[in-house]
This record gives sequence, structure tokens and C-alpha cells, in this order.
Amino acid sequence: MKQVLQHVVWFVGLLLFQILILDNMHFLGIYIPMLYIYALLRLPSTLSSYASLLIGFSVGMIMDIFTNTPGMHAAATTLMAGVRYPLIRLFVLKDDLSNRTISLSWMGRSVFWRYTVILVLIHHTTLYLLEAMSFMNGIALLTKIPMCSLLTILFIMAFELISPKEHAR
Amino acid sequence: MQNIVRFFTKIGSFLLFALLEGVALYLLFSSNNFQQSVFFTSANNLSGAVYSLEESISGFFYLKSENEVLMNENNRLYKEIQLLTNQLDQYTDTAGIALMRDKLPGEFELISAKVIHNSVTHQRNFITLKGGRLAGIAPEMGVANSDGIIGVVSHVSDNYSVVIPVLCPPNRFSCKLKKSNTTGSLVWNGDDRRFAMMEEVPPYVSVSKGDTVVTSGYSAIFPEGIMVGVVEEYNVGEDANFLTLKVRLAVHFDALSNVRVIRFNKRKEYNQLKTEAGI
Repeated sequence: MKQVLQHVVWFVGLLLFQILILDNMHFLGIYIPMLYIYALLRLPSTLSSYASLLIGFSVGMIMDIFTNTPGMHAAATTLMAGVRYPLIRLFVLKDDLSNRTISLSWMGRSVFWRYTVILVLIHHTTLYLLEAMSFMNGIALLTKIPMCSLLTILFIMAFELISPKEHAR
Repeated sequence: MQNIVRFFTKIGSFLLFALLEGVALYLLFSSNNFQQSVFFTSANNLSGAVYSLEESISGFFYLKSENEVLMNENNRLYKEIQLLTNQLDQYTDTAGIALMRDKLPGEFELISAKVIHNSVTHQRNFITLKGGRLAGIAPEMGVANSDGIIGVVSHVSDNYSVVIPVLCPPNRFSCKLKKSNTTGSLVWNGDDRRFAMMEEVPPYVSVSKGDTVVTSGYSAIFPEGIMVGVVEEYNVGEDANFLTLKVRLAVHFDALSNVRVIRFNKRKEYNQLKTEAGI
């Protein structure tokens, strides 16, 4: 129960941080870090894929409501949530899977960053491809994928470094 | 049986994934249908509340620049109003300067001129008009616009003239309270360009806020009854023998554009009489 509450706080906090602060920060004019997906990355490793998908879709939908882009974030976060579980199973031995919040200190540096970078890239690629397609802004938008991914990953790195360390088992 | 359950849980999560993706893409690519639906946009109650909260906080950071924008806008509109009023005053004339053409035929004449330079920020301000000797303008002619008196011509070249406005102490302008016909003299104290002081008003006169001050007509510069301003405050002087009134000037000196120069045709006769009388 306490863990659920913690995750809810993370989701609400990160969504507010994203909507109120990050969405107003335009690095080099157009690049915005999408830090709200960090809350999805942190979901427990053993969470069922149904719950994970539904949570991903809802979080994306909330972002969509705030940015007036119905379906765009939702499509990206749902895809991300769908890929998440297979990816965890790919990187972590099945015996190691336990109900834990995913973090740098638990997974270890190399696994965590591979996991993070892949999911961030999946999310951002989907998001900005959809943006480029639905708003017809063309190729220029595609420079957003690497730049915004970089920003998002930097922010996640910062959050991981300041969060309290969990000792690896 | 177990295999079937496992199959359905596997395929089930894929179906859910496909369903959610389908919904998202449908919303995205058929957004025309949902433009009417307020729920999916930032106009709904929750996001509206969050955004207005954000605005109420972040709005403070933009107050300064917002103020500047508003001020510029105000100035622009103000100037525009002034321009339009000046154009309009050819038809309606609140200060009554056009009327006096009928009142005193032949005695006063009006010459239109355009302000090409105007200072209001100095202690002694000057106005430059386009139009000079060739247009019939000469020193010691009064200058007014549709709002009221502006000043007196001091120097004239062939095509330009310099005006000493009310905002140039220690020049004094003879004026009177319209209600009681009490005269005084108007002088600017160098402080606020919207106000000037009417001095030497006898203390027994009853004055109230909002009383109209007009020109007295005692000099040969302005005819009687041209608007000067309204009383803003009274009894502001230290001198017990005279009242000093703070007058809100009718003319907005920040935004002058078209003015009328008032030419007194019988000036020569008037001045000759004055010298003969030894005044």
C-alpha cells in the first residue's frame, strides 16, 4: 500500500513538474525534456502488463489533455509500457525479478542505462514521429528525437543521482 | 486448460495493448471529431484549474514587461485619440475657440499649425510648430487646441515658430474662475505636467473641486473664455493673503499634434494704447 502511494505521488509530482515547468522550458528554442515518463520507468518490475499498459495509457492521456494533442502522448506511452516488461525480462535474470521499484542502484549501472535509453528512445521516436505526421511540420521536427531524448536522459540521470541509494542484493 | 489460460493472458495483454494504441491513434488522427469535445483539451475543468493556477503564479514574473507593453499601448492609443480629437475639433470644438470667430468677427483669426517638436520632461519646456511668419504667425500670439490653451508664441522664423507653453515657468497666464469671474495667474511649478497652479486668487472666493478655469481675456493674447482646466485642489498655498489652486490642465501636453494659433488683429492698436497709457 505504501509503495502504491509512493508511485502515485511520483506520477502526480512528475506530471505537475512536466506540465508546469518543463513544458515552459524551451532549450535552444524548441527542445523540451519529457521527464514525466520517468514515473513509468520506475514502475515495479513485477507489475502485470495489463496494469502497466493501463497506467501508461492514462498518463499519456493526461499529458495529451494538457497539451491539446489527444492521443499523441497516449500512443507513445502505451507503446513504451508494452515494451517495458519484455525488456526487463531481457535484461534481468528471472530469478532476480522481485517486486521492486526499478532504479539505478537495484539494476546496476549498465543494465539501468540500457533499459532507460531504449525506452526513452522508443517513447520520443513515437511521439515526435506522430507529431511530425499529424501536424505536417516535416523533417525539422525529427531533430527533436535525439535532442529531446538527450535532455530527458540527462534529467533522469540527475534524478537517479539525487535519489537515496538502495543497496543491491 | 492451463495452456489455454496462459494463451489468453498472453494474447490478452497484447489485445489490450492493441486496443489502447488504437484508441490513441484514433483520437490523434480523427481529432476533428473531438474538437467539439472539451474533455480531451486543456479547456476542461481540471487542466483549466491547473493552468489558471500556473498563470496566477507565473503571471507575476511577467508583470513588469506586461506593464511596459500596456503603457506603450496606452501611449499609442492616447496619441491616436488626441489625433482624432484634433481632427474632430474642426467639427466640434469643446474649448470654444472656433465659436469666437463668430463672436468677435474680424478681431481674432485662427491659424492651423502642426506641432513638430514638443518637450514635457524638462523644467522649462518648449514646443516647435511648423508654420511661421509666412503663415501669418507672429510673436505673442496665443496657441490653443480643442482642449484648451497651450502657450504663447515667442520666436518666429519664416516657416517655424517656437511656443512657450504653460509648462515653462516663470511665464504666467492670466486666467479666471468661470463661476465667479475671479482672476488669477496660472504658472507651472515644474512638477507634474498634468497640473499647474493658479495663484493670486483672493481668499474670499468660494472655490470647489471641479470648477472650470478659463482665460480671462485681460491680455491681447487669448480671447476670454478659452478652457484652461479644472480645479483639482484648493488652498494649497502658504500665503494667507491669496489662495493658490491646483488646476488640472485640460491640455495633455504629452500628446500634442494639431494646434491653432490665435491672431489678434488689433494688436498694434492695443499695444499703442498701452504705451500711451504708460502701462
